[in-house]
Amino acid sequence: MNETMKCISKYIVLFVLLIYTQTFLGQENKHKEALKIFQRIEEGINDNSVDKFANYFSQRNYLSLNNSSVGYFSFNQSYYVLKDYLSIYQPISFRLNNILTETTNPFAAGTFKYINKGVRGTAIIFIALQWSENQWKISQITIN
Amino acid sequence: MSVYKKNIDKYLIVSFALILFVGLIIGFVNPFLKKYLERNWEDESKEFSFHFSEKVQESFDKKINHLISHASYIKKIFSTEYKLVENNHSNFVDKIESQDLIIHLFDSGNNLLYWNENSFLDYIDQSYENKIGQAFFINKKGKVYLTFIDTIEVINKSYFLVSSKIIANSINIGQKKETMIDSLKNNLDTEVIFDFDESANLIKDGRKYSFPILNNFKNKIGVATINKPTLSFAQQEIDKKTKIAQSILIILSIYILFIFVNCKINSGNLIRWITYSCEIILLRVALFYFEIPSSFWKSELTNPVNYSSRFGYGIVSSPFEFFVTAVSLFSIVLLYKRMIESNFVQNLVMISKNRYLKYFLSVLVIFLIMLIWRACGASIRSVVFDSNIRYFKEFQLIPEPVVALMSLNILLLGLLIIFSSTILFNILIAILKIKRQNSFLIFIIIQIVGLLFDQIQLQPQGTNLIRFVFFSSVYLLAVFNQSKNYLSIHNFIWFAFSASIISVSLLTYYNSELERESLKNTAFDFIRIKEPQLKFMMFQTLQEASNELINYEKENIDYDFVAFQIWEKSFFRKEGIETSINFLDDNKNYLGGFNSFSDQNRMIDFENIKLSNEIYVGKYNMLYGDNISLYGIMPISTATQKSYVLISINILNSIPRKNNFSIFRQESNVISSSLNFDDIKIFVLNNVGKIYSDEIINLNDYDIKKIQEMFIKKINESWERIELFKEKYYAYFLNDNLNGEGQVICVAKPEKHFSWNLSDFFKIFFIHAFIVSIFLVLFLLLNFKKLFRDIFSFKTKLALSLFLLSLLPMIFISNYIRNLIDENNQKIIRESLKEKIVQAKNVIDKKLATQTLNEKAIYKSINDEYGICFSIYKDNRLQYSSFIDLYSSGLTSYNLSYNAFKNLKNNDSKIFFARENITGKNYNMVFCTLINGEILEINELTNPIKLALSKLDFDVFLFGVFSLLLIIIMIISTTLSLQISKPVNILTKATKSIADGDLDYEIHIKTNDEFKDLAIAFNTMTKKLKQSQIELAQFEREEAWKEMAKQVAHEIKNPLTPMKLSVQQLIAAYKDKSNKFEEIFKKVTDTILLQIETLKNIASEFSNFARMPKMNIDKIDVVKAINEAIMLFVDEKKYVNFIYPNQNIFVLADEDHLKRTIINMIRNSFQANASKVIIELFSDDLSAVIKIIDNGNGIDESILSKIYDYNFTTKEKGMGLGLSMAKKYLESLNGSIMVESTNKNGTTFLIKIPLHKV
Repeated sequence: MNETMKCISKYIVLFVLLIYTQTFLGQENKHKEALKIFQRIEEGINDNSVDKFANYFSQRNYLSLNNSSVGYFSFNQSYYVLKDYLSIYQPISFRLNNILTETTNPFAAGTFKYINKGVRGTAIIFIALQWSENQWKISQITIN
Repeated sequence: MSVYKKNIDKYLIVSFALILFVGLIIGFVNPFLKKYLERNWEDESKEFSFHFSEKVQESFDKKINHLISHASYIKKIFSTEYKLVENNHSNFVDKIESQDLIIHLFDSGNNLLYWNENSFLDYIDQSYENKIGQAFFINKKGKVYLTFIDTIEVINKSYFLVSSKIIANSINIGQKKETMIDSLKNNLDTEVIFDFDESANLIKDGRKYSFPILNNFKNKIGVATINKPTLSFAQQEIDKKTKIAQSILIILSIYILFIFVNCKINSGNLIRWITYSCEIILLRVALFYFEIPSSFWKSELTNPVNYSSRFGYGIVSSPFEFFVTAVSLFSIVLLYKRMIESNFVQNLVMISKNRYLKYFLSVLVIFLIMLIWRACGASIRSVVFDSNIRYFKEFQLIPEPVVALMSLNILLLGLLIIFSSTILFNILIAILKIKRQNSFLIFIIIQIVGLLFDQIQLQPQGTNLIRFVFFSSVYLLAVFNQSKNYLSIHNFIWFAFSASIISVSLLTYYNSELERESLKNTAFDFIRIKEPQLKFMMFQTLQEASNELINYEKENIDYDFVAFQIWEKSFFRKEGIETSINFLDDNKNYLGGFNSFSDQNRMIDFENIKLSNEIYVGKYNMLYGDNISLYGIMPISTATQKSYVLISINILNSIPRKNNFSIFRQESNVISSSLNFDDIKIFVLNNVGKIYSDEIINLNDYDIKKIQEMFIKKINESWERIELFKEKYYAYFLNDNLNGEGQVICVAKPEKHFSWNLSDFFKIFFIHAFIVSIFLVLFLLLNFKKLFRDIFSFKTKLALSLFLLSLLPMIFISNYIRNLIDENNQKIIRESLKEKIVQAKNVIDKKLATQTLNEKAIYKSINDEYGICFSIYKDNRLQYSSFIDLYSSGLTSYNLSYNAFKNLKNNDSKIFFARENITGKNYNMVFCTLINGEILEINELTNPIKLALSKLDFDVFLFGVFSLLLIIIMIISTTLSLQISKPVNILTKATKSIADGDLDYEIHIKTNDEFKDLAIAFNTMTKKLKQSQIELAQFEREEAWKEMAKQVAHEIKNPLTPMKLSVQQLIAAYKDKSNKFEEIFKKVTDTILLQIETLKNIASEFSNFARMPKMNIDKIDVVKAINEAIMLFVDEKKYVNFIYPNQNIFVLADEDHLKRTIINMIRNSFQANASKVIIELFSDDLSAVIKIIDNGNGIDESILSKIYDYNFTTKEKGMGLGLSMAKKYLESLNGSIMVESTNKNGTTFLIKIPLHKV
């Protein structure tokens, strides 16, 4: 009886460990996935190519840009609004220097250097993600 | 090929070559231009900088001159008026026209005597006194004023006149007007920085160009600095412009190429239409590919914020692109409609002889109609969801250009869908060979299929009612609209309004869907930003503030305004987070600050804040309620003291306050929501059932239970119907786990607001009606000849009279009601403000008389206790305000309204009303004097008054109903005028027919009025006329024969006499056996032969006399001739359908004869009891072929051979001339007429006339 109990206990412990590991790994993957998206956005903005991260837009995205475009934009709109913005404020460089992925709403912020009308300028880009339909989606991009 | 065509070809080729040549030249010039720029860059750069500095100085000079001339004008008035009113300046100021300037008038004691709107001074600073007579800048609360001070000396008294003009405004809140500096910056391709300080130094930097701004004394009053344009940027600009120019030239060359190709097409219609369509598509794609005009035209019309979709790789990525695409598609649909109407239907009739093919095609067409319906829904959904234009929430009677364009796009979309569906419906009728009148069954089938189609889809298109209206419109337009001219006004109006009704109905439906979506967005907004993000933003805001504050270290700081500026530039403003920014000294004394909310209780208690020597972000439990504040503190050092900037925001239960000033609230992220913020209820419910809200929310037990289940069952989100304030609300619940504590955010909107709203419908319908009217006017102007003729017709005069008679009373009544409502609304607002001011005055006066507290404490307590927002002025200057941030931020003036001051002076009991400008918008204000002599002000901005029906609401309703009534009146007046003028038209047509010789024409009028008597009299007259004509013809024929017989006898007699004598002479010579017989014989036979020749000539002459009248043979267009012939039958309610190819067919013939022949043939058909006649015209290689098909009684075989005989007729009153004449006439043209087929079901005649060939 004791042997059986021991055996059952072992299995229970193993099962709990397995679940815990799975959950932990799942969380880890989620964080990695978020980080990957931030990197894609960084790369996309640097290359002036919204296409590189357009797939991560959700159906309603909150964009607040320093050219007075503020509000919730659809998937379609977000793509063109950002594309239009980057055609006017042509990127020189963009580097994310504040990334926080170990939270329910990962966010990142970085300095965006651009050229507009031949004049260089800087702005802070703030990006936030949200977990939706089993994947991270962009919920917000603020350029201040 | 004609000479004309040859010339066109020549011009096209030359134009094409020229365009390509110019394109090449531009390409070649580009590198040279760039090289030239590189070599001369220094000079070019200098020239640019110099040119710009001249431009800037010129702008300032213009403004300074305006100020000086205006000051002279005031001085002149003052000198004249002052003497008249003897030391009383108050009357003179009424005569001042400010001309958009800010005027202050001070006496020699520096007392403010007069000021107007937007005043910013209450005394003249000592530093200004040495600037008298010259212009200079004053910087106040983010605004820069160009100011001119002048002195006025009148009767030993001096006054100071200060005239100012705002030239720069850094505050981006409220309705901001474009200033001079804004316009200078916008028109320049580089950055320009202005320093409006006379002590500012010119910047010595090789990359920049700095120059002084001079005043009228040529003194420096400021400095402007531009970033010199870089060579690479200038070269990039050249490349960009070259690319644009070349792209435009390529588009032009493609267009010319298409014209050339079109001239060359000789193939059938189908090929021609396919070519045209391909050309339109290619042209559209070329415009898209070369990014024309979006690459060089940036405006609201090309801004993707207003609309953008990824449909077709972005071919509709802005409102303007959408418009170009819609116009292209619409052109293609119009082309196909014309093609189908010309001969495509015939081919379909042929195809439909195969039963299986017929059913397959029918199913296919029905499926296509369903797809179009789906496309319609999806497009309108995209218009709503992929755009930030809120058609119903931010409605304006005169729409912004972008709203007008999008409304036009919606109308075009509707037209496109309706046109396509109507074409397909007509094809369906043709395939199934169903009479239009009997097509109701198809309509029912389509309605059922439509219902099933929507049922099987995940996202149905609109509601059942909208779908029913859509298919009904298509059916009615397809079946009852049979006008030949598909571009007629009649057609246009019906199609346009059907399209508008469908598209606007779908728009309102999807807008409701978006509103539901917005409930969700608003709820998500609460949890979108969590504590870590807020901390980051706090840190970022403080860091940016530290950079900003470096500039202030040398001056006296206006803490209130600096706090406002920090807020304005912060993430918090962008995110719509309620923020408090305060400045504290070393002892935590308050120095100044700004709150973006009005609830003073939500402010942080400074005593409990720990001061820090570096940026510190921490949390703090608020004294009031369960609120937790996140705060950030940062030390700043000025020349005089050390101080701290403290920023605080609420992070728990932060519900947007509805009593916030709308001026700050509009910066909140709800701006993009389709929801009206005043309509919705927002509250947060925690896991112990406590409700946090800006207003009192009472939920019933059932609803609370529903929400608590969300906690228990861990439901993330839920849509519910709840009851609030005895009203049903549609609510979205979002379960959020904040800091381990559960909370449910609820955003609810009254259910009735989601229903179809007539007022909303009219908002866009009105714009559509306006657009349609513009097109109608253009349409009429383009057809002005016809318009000029029609406008004087009896029918038009009648319709116009009826229209005006109905319209004028409507205009007067609606205008009267509109004014009445406006007056009533103003009365309600004033009464409400008056009620508030009386209440506030009584309480304040009472407390001032009884309490010993200081005045400010009394005012604050009243504000807290009664919830009335007010301002108090002492000596024209603001003393206290419940909304001080509105003043400290520089959005409104600290000075009391001059009109209020003037009217309340020495009048303690009076209540004065005014309507004045605050932040660019006019508001009602009310003023009265308090017991202590101070002036109390209450205004509409901070005490909003909800009206049952605002002027805008009424205008929307009025203009919407007006548009609908206009259509109804138009329909009724047109129908009535048609009814009245119809008999007149019938009589006119009948008279024309009689004049053309068609005496068989009879008028049929069913009414029992005077027109019926007239018709009977007319028919009797026609019959008698015909009888008389027959008798006259008979008489004339007899007379002619008699005369001819006499003539023939006479003419024959003449040669017979010499013949007789000759023969007698010959007989005599023969009997006498004369020696000269041979000579006589020859002479006699010659004479006889000569006379015989004479007889032959006489016979020929008579033969010619009996021939047909001489024909006027010319090259004529058969299509035109037949069209004119069938026009006679239009009003006879006879179905005559003419099917003809889309090209002219020319023959050599007499047009009148041909028309008469066609009229006779049609008339014969109808006399043979035919109900419809179809005339088909086509051409083979040699002849023009006219088929006349009727469904009459047919021709009996026994008489078939006699129908062309002269005088043969089967009709009672017929003459037997028609067909014999037709045959004779056609044969004279080397043509023919024959009966192709005849039976009981009808007859088909076939006429052939040789084609005219060059």
